[in-house]
Amino acid sequence: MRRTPLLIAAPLSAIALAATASGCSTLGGTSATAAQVSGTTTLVLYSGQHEQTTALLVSAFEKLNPNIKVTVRSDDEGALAQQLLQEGSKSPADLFFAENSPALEQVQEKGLLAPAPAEALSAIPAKYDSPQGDWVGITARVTCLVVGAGVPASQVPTTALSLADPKYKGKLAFAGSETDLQPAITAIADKYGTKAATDWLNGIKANAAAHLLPDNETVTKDVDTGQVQIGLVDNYYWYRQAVDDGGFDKAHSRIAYFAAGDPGYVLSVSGIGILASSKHKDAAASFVKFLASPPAEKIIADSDSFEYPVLPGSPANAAEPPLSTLNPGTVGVDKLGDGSTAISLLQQAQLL
Amino acid sequence: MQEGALAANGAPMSAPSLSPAAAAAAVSGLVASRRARRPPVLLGLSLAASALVLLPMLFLVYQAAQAGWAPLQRLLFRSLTAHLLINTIELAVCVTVLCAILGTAAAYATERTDLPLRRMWSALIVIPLAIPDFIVGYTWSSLWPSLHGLAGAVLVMTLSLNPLIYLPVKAALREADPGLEEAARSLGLSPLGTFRRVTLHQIRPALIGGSLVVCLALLAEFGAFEILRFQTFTTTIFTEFTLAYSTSAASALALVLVLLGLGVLVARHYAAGRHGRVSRASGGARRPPIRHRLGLRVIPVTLGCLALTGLSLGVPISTLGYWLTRTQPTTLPAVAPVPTAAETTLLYALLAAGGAILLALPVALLVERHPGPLSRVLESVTLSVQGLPGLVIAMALVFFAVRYAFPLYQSPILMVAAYSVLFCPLALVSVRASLAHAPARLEETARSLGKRPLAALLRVTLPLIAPGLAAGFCLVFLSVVTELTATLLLLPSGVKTLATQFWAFQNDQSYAAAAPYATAIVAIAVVPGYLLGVWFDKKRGA
Repeated sequence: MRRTPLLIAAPLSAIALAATASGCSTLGGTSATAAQVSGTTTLVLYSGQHEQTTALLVSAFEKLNPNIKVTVRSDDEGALAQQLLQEGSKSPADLFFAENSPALEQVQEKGLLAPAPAEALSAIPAKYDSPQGDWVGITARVTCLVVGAGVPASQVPTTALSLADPKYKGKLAFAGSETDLQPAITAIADKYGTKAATDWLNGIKANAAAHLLPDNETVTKDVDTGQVQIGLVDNYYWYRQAVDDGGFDKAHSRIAYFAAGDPGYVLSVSGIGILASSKHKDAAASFVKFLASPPAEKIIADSDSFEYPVLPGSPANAAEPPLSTLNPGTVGVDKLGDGSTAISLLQQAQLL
Repeated sequence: MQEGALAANGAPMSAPSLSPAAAAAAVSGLVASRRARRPPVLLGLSLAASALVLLPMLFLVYQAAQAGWAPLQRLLFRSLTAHLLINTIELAVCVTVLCAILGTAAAYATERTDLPLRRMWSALIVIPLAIPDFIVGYTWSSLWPSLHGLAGAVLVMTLSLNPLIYLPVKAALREADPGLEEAARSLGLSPLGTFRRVTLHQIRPALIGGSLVVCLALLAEFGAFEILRFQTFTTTIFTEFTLAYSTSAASALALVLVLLGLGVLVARHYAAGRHGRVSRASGGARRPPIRHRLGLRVIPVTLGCLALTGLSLGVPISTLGYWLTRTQPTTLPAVAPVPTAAETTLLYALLAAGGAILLALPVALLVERHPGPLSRVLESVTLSVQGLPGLVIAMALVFFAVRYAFPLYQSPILMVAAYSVLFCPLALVSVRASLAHAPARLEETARSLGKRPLAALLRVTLPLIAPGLAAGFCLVFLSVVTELTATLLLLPSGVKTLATQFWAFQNDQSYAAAAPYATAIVAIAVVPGYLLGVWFDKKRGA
């Protein structure tokens, strides 16, 4: 007869838990006061990059800099950039590590980034860095095709433009809402004009009508499982898929690069910037310098993210062809900008 | 607590100091005054709850106003928008109808028949709510690669959302006065006729409330449709927010979703009509309803339960099992181990479920006990938030917290507040459906006996609506366990929940590494599902 109050007690006890848990580390919350006492600085890193690789980089950095702790906030890079825009000058973030340069450019355009440390900017070739010097390139990847195991080489397109050819109808897959697609669109618009880029988008949309997929992981998987012949992705997706298949020789698909210099063969960059609102700019700068140094680039090359380190002299993952042997087109981060051209073309093509 | 417990458990109201005549006199006197005044405290609390829930709307209006008409026109009036609207509406209608049928049938089978293993079925039916969309979507698309578009979305969403109707309807069936059904049967109405003309009427508030929540949840759904390659309006909002970085355009589109949600609420208003009294006719006497003897029909009913739970639970669980047995050759160490992430998830889910109930309770009391235009508006506002994607609500809270409550930003308190706002509609629907069954006159009697309003609430009303509170608590709990978009934005930096860890691995296609987190999510979800079933059954025995 007395059981009824139990159910009422449940929400109440939850509230009581809140009181006891307010200092509880399980729920999180700031340890800023503790940090100040012990003399350590805590950096907040907003990261859209591969989570495990980022965790490896952070722990290597913390080992070298025992007085600096790095707290990572991982999310989709677009959501993080949007969050930074909403937070404005009050952002708790010290650093923003994005997967693609347009996300950094969005934040940069609103004046939310501080100048990057000169040492890091000069270590990394200028073509991978922010044109304004507000962020530093850390990794790179190129657009490519993932091709099903049974597809003969003669039937693999060698230019991005030819993907719109009706002969690939029903054979192509791509993900319109992936940020990785936008560099190729921007590059094609830059080379052939926006009209040609729109026609191209409409063409590949028609060819991929049955295979318009949500993300590049699905594109790669669908090609690998034989549901479609060709997918337009970035190179690292295939390597990650191959690992999932149990090894590079076990994959049921392969990578095909476009012809050297093809406009759709784009190198895009992942980079890191310091927030203008950061109260720990020196500590943040040392993190950026660390990422642009050989030990960090080695961690990236050895990790499962399969992106290219961009520091000269840092070898890529042994499974991949060296970056120097690839011949992407000439469109750089300055042309890719904040991605707004690509977005509006995607919207005109009703892909977004 | 004794009086309350007595009333709830069906002992006759025979408190020594109260003669029936005196009670009747006291009640009739109170009824006259009751309608006239709303308790200011209740009104204040309801207004505060609604104001909190209203924040996302304010954010949307403010942001959309920044855009100007031209870019909105370009985005809104194009063929894709029409296509998405049609997709969204088709899906909402199909899934809501299917969920209503499945949820009601399952609730009736476990509540009103002598189906064997009722307690087990009861727990199993609820758990799919806590299986992340991604797992469900992934499982079905790997089992049946050609399953996408409308059919796939309807299948997957029906399987994962039907508990939203099952739970409130079950609670309503539990509380409904069996006397009415018995009277109908004794007057010669067939079992089917009794169901249609009496039972359906009794569960109508719960059924309509549940359907409303399903409908609104579909408007806001994002993750599952990504996997099933089915685009709805919400997908465009995500694109505008996180790819085009156009907050104003995203907000304008989200306001269209709000309008759709309000449309659903208006439809609900007409569907509910002027619902008559559904509370017990007699003064609180309560007996368990008769369970229909199934006889040989036990076979098809059991097969039905088996099919439902097999599809909605068995299929995704088997995928998890497959992932768990696979060894991933090069998986990197996890950022947060399973037990740590599980503890965080559990604490947040408990706090958020409590918070959502606290937000919903005053609004529910106001709507049920003091109906009127104001309470209707407050309720609609509170419910319509369910139709907004989690990303929009979280972004709005980022906006307001950064400007006006910065110390709370990315603190556990804001995270719990966000969950409470996000899932307040689930709690509201359950609590309100229960309140509709709790006779107001019992509270009035308590008041007439000199109890203060708070005491009457604690000792009479809350015990009466305990099943609704429990159902709401569990619904919110289960939803928090899998919530992702708002969690990623508002969780204190560096903290991981099971859902965010699962996301980190599955994002990377490391399914074998992701599987333990998903398994822990399901394991945590079993607890409220099981408790709910057990609690109901013990109560029946009392």
